[in-house]
Amino acid sequence: MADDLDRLFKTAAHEPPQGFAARVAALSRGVSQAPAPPPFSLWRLVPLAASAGLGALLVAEFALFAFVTAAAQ
Amino acid sequence: MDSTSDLCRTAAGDAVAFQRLVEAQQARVFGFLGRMGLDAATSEDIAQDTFLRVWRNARSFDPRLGAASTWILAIARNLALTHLSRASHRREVRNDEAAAQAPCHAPLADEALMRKEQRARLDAALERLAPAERSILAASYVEGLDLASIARIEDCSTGAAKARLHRAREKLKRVLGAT
Repeated sequence: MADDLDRLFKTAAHEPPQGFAARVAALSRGVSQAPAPPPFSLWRLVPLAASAGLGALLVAEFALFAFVTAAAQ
Repeated sequence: MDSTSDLCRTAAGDAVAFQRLVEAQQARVFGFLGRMGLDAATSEDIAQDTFLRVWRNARSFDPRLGAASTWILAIARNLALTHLSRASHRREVRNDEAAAQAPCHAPLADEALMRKEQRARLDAALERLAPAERSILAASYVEGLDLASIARIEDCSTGAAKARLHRAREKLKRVLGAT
């Protein structure tokens, strides 16, 4: 069956039409290129790190409160 | 000159490098789209869209993240999946214009007839697969593409790509066995 799949997929590929590359290249002349994305900067991580820190603080506060409550009982 | 260098030159606006890139990669893209079960006309539209996106977004390509061919096939895959999801409500009819325009009494050569029947059988089976399964199967038949590259095209880990490919092949075998 694996051979059957290979045989079937071999017949399934299409061939590019004649002159396809030249046509696409000609079409591209009317298309402007998008600017490069801004380079990665560590400053972009600052909001993420701040949110993670606040979240961790909240969890720690909750754990401390639960511990103190349990100890008091 | 390899395709990655040509893509880097394309990013600098080199139209000659871009045409060279299209010439080098067009057979892979058409082969991939055909193996996803798309007809010739749709494949041509998607391939054209793919290469125009390559031209437009060439500056976003980062050669450290993979080869140009992988990046281009990932664009073709995303466009093909969008097309398949839009077309899912209607039945895809293969547009074999050459055969349709031939007179009914003109006999097809044995080999051509056999290929047409095989293609129809595969198309019918592929229609019963999810678009993502069709995509990973098609990628696995692109010449020179290893599992890591397939995983990059499919945007998943190598292990996940291997498992998904295995499942898709098994499902296709079952569907073909049932027809």
